[in-house]
Amino acid sequence: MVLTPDETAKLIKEEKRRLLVAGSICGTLEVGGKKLLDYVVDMAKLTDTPIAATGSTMFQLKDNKEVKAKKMMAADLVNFLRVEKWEEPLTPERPELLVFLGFYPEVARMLVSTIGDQKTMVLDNRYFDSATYSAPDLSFEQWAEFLNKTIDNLGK
Amino acid sequence: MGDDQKKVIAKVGGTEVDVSTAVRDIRGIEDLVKESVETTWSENLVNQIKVWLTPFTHASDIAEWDKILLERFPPLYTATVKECQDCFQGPCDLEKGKGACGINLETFQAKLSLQSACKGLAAHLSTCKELLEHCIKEFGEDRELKWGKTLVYGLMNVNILISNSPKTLREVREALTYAEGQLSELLSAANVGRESNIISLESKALHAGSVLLFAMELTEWLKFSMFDFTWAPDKELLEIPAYPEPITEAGLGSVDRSKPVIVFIGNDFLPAWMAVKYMKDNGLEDKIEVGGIGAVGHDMIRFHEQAKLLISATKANKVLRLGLGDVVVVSDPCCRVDALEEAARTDSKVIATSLNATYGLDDRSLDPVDEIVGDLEKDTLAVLISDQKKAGEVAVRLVQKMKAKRKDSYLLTTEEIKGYASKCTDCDACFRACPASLVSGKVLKAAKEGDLTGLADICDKSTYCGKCEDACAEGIPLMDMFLAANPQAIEADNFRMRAGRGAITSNEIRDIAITMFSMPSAVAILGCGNYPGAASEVAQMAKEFVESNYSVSVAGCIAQDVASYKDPKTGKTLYETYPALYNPRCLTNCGGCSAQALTSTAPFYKLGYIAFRNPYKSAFAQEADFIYRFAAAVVIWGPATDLSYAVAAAHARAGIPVIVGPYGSKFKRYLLGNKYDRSKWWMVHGNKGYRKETAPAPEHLLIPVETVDEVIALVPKLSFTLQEMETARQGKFDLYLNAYKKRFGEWPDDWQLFVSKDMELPVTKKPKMLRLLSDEHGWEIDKKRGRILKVKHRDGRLMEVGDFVAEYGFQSGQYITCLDRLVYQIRKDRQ
Repeated sequence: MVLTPDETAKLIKEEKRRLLVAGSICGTLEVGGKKLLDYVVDMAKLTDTPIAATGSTMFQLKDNKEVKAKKMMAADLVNFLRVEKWEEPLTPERPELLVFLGFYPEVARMLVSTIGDQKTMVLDNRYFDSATYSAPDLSFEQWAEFLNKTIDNLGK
Repeated sequence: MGDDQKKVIAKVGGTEVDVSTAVRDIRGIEDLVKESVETTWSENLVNQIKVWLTPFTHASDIAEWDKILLERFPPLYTATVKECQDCFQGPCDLEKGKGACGINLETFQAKLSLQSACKGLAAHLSTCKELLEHCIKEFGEDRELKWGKTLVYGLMNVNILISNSPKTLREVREALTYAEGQLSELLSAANVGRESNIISLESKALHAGSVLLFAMELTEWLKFSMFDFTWAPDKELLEIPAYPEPITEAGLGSVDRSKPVIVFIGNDFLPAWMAVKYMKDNGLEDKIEVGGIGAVGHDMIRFHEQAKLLISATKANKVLRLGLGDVVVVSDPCCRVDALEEAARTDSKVIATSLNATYGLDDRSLDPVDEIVGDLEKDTLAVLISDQKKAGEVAVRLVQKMKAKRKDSYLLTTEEIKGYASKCTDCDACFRACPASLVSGKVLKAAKEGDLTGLADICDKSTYCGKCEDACAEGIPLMDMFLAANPQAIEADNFRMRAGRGAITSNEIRDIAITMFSMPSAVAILGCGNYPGAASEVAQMAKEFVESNYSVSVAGCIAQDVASYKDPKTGKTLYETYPALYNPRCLTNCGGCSAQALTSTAPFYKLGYIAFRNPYKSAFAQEADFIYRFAAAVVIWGPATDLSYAVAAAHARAGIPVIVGPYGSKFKRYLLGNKYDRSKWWMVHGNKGYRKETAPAPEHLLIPVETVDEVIALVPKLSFTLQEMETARQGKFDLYLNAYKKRFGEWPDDWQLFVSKDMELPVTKKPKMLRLLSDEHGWEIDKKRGRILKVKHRDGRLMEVGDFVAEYGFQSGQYITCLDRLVYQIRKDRQ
């Protein structure tokens, strides 16, 4: 399903068990004058959602006491979602919705293809048909607008 | 085989063993089996376990071992292909249900996995076969092969599957016939209506990997034996730390462009060999530059000191766009399929040499050299010459004429860059298409205003795959712009490295057998170098491991990237800084693509025999069971082809954890362990035969990662073994916790799973570790004295340390195994 900012915020708010997944380019890529990671943190704060930080992104979250975040290898995330007997300190219950931002396209494609039973939402600026929900193809300017509007809606 | 089989007696010390039941079917190979047992089995061993060999190993011969691995590390698939089109009953959308033949989505993924591994095997097998046929034509099939002064046990990846290493070219042909038979058997199992069990399919995929290393090792040996490639086993131990000298010039800036330049691409070194020979015969060595891209480049620097190693094969387009080669010679595999089109942009002439990659050209091997050179000098863009000798001569003669006909530079001017940038509509389709998320409208907007820094930054990081250009509706030549924005970076891409050295010697293995209990582990960095970002990141990874006392070996295109970091103080590369031994704190480059067979499995099979008298001839499961208990890791960085897929499979099957990145996600199948599922982590007491729970080590067998930081943090953890001396465990904890903290700002959440007593805790971290064990994990700690009083077992019990150690895991020195058949019985001769 191709998302609009309104739908994105609505879907995130509707799902009680959710997890934000910050990819490896979250900490370096700037969109609309701020890092993608800042958007992730804004979403986390507004919705009280934990963040699984893949790649090296956790280093930039280590001093942020406002959000609950943990370094997770993509493989650990997949294990957490798929296998029995996994003990995850970040969030004991398996999420029903995973929101991805800041991924190389192939990594995002791998993750959404591997995750079995959960709903996936990719908010990067490429459309992912294998995700349950995806932002459409967007230019950087449109992407910033999309993310900002989503965050505005999450705050309402 | 019937019960009336005649006895075949092997004598091991004072013990006679009937080996007629030691293999599935001994008919025709009686002498081989007898010799294998007599030369590699100890008297102790033949009296303690059943002698069992698998000469000319089939996948099913190792299924017992594969099943153990695949049960502990179940295959996990990234099902990006969900529609099966393998037969004419389909296509079948397997996401919706079973296919017409009854296959489901997961089994289909396992089938794709086997197909990938087979394609990887086929790619190299054909290269090896082509080389062998050339050798037989040149030297005759009775030609004996030389080993080198110190290669005592022969070819280990070969011995492990067929019991013996060939001694003549005829025997190499026989060995390859075995490999070809295996490929055909494996590929046929991936056909419609054949193998239907996921574990069996994966077992076969792993086998394709083992056979690939077999073929690669044969190739390496032919290169030394027939073409005098650099080969460490031909040197004395004291010469090896500096062998070969780190004097090879590498990088695009190493090419003297005032001379005519021939660039070779692919994995067949024979055209380059022939060209160099022609140059030497005609006194042209100093007048012509020869450079190699990818595997051929790594080979060229092993037989011709003046050859330049340019770049990894996946980035070949950078060289083509630069127009570096006046003449480009392409073989196969690992060549761009649009090489002709790309070369034409810069007026380079192309000579294709492989019948596997003809580019639709007619083979002109029978035409006179003068005629071919004449045609190429005029309008002909490319020719196919499958006769490598002729191809080499044509390349040398043509390049001398082409130099004057080409421009000095094909780079865009700044004005041209700005002009193209102004066509950008800021749609960012380039960003969405770029696998590395590098280029965007923002960069082009700056370039339009004359700020080329964004483009210049991409010059070094791009893989030049061209997807950005393809996505651009305005037809902007983005790759040309990256290159033109940073000519200084191209000039600065100039460093010295060691050429590959071939196999690890028995003397080095003897020495590492002594140090292996105190070093963190042996790490091999392999792969194609297909990754975005600076090559120096890979060098930093190697540096980190070497300086942390790992034994580091490299092979494949990535070996060049390891040289791309220069110490700011000394100006030296890692190859110039560290000894080239297979020892802790050393860095050894085994060579190009085929040398990936030499870095890990071969030395470890040898280690098994030298240190523990573990038989290595047709005893794969026995050797893998040994390796699985020791510390080793393989990092495959930037895989590009199915060959890497099979290389990864081979190492995983040998019990060596494999980390794949940063595009590990494309690997389609991983072998991940679940550290929290206690039922998965056990070993068998090697003398008493009972199972005990152990720590989850190694945690994964094949794991994808995204960043170099993740590799550096993961390798120490995957190096934890089940029987570690306390000092070694302390060192690994130190490396693991430091790496995690430095790179992710926090400690990992699983270190406590590997603690069983205080002696294992590194002194500098002990107070914090004890506090966390007490506060967060429920252990009973004497905080005043800093001691563990009671351990919290994973089942929740609080236990005395001694009781816990007796119940959980095994002590260092105890023989343990995964295979019940390898449990020692009381010696028959002493009963």
